[in-house]
Amino acid sequence: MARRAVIVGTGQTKYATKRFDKSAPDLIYEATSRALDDAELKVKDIDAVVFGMAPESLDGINSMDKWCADAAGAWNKPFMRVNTGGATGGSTALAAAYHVTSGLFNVVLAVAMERVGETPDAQRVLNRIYDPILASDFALNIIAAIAMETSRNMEIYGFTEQHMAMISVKNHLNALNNPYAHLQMKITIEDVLKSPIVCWPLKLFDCCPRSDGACAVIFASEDRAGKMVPIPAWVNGMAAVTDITVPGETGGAGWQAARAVWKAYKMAGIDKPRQQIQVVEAYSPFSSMEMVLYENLGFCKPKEVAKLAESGFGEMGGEVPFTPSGGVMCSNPIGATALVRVAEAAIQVMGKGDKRQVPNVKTALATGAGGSPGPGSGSFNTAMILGREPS
Amino acid sequence: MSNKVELLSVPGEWSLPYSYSAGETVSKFLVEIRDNARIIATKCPQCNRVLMPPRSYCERCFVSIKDNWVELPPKGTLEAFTLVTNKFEGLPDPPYVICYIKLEGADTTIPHFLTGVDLSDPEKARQKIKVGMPIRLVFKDKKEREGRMTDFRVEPA
Repeated sequence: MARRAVIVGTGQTKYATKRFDKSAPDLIYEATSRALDDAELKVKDIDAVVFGMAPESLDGINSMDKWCADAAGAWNKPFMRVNTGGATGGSTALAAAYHVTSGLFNVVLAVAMERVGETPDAQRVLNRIYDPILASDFALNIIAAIAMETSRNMEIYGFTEQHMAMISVKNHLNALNNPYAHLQMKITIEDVLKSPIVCWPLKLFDCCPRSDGACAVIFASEDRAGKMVPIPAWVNGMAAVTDITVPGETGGAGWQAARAVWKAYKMAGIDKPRQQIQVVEAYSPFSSMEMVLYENLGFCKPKEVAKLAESGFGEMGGEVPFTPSGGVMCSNPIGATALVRVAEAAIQVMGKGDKRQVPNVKTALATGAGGSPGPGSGSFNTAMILGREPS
Repeated sequence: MSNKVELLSVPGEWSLPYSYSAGETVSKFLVEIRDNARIIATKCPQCNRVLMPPRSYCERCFVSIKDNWVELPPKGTLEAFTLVTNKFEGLPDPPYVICYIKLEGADTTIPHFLTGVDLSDPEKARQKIKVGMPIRLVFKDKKEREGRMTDFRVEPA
């Protein structure tokens, strides 16, 4: 990196199925204002804005960025939009960090928003992300696609629906500590197993909700690090890996996500993640996706994911808590979701997590994944590693 | 003025017609299905991967492979599946099975519906379907084929 970037502030809206009380620009304004307050900055301090939003037909407005740019504080400034599906927020964070590390900009705002509640069934929209000639005849949508991946991964990684339920219970419990979380309810393993089957093996409580909401993260150059806020979060590693849209080859879900994460590990000097990372904000909209990350991100040996789930490894108070925020399973404003992972990882590093704070966080990992998933293939994957100190 | 605001929403709907261009490579593949009930794929001469559905280029070696065709048999394995029991708006009425299959000799997979399994009892049906099980393609009669992926069905072999 030409120079280092740090995160100096984050802002989020409350996530809910439908935010009747806010227009789309209002949501962006709220997240942006909160990030500016958190960083103790004014909008004039922002040099450039990177805006993230996923497929437009989720929200039902084309080129929504033009409707929303001013609410992101972009008036009279450089502005660009990023879209990599579910990874949009991760790519938005990377683009903002690249702005800073390039040396051209000192303070850059990453802000992302989605209103998934504006259309009655998001999966109908997501059916249209598939190849219209070769694939979309077959009723594909994201839940069905992840269900297929899961059917395969249960064989490859050796876990059951019971293990998936453990992950779901853990994430829902975590969300109770997060005031921004959409779903806030205590559920049991039995509740998950008895919830209606959506696409076998995924049941209702294995799946994320669809949410309205926005998230903002402010990146600054390293020379500003100590001047703006007492404890910034240092961007010690960042990476993205792209795969094709035609699914196939070997490996299961998480395999491509892992390639982005391992590149970021290398940049951050991490070779023993289980010893060197204290908290992970994983992009896992479905319980089965988090299962495979345990192995693919290097937290256990092959075929040990079930054992890790049983041991409470990823719970609050466990060895390495996964998604103290409740994660994507409890809030999913699609284009903003992976930026929420970065914001929550920064919150952990900065010690601002309140009831969801993991003690003594030195290094946190945030992941993102998006595109059209199939067996062993997701299109876009991102990773960012944040540290209390520069690595 | 009261502080309580009545919150309004305005209705909207998208219904936009399109005609998606398949291009030379995928057209040749679909015409072969329609006219001859045969599956053809492209093979990269550098990495030897067989791409099915065919593409005109290999994304890894980044070379054109549009003239390098191979024929594949109408059989292969089921790589992944889901039994859908939930109704999604605008998508078919459940239950149905979606799967990814890999034809013999191919290196990539295609999605399709799995037919030929009795779905009247979803729990029983699910236990009959296994990742890795052999499948075969069954082509529609020639007069019913229209150059679409739906010109054939996929069922357990």
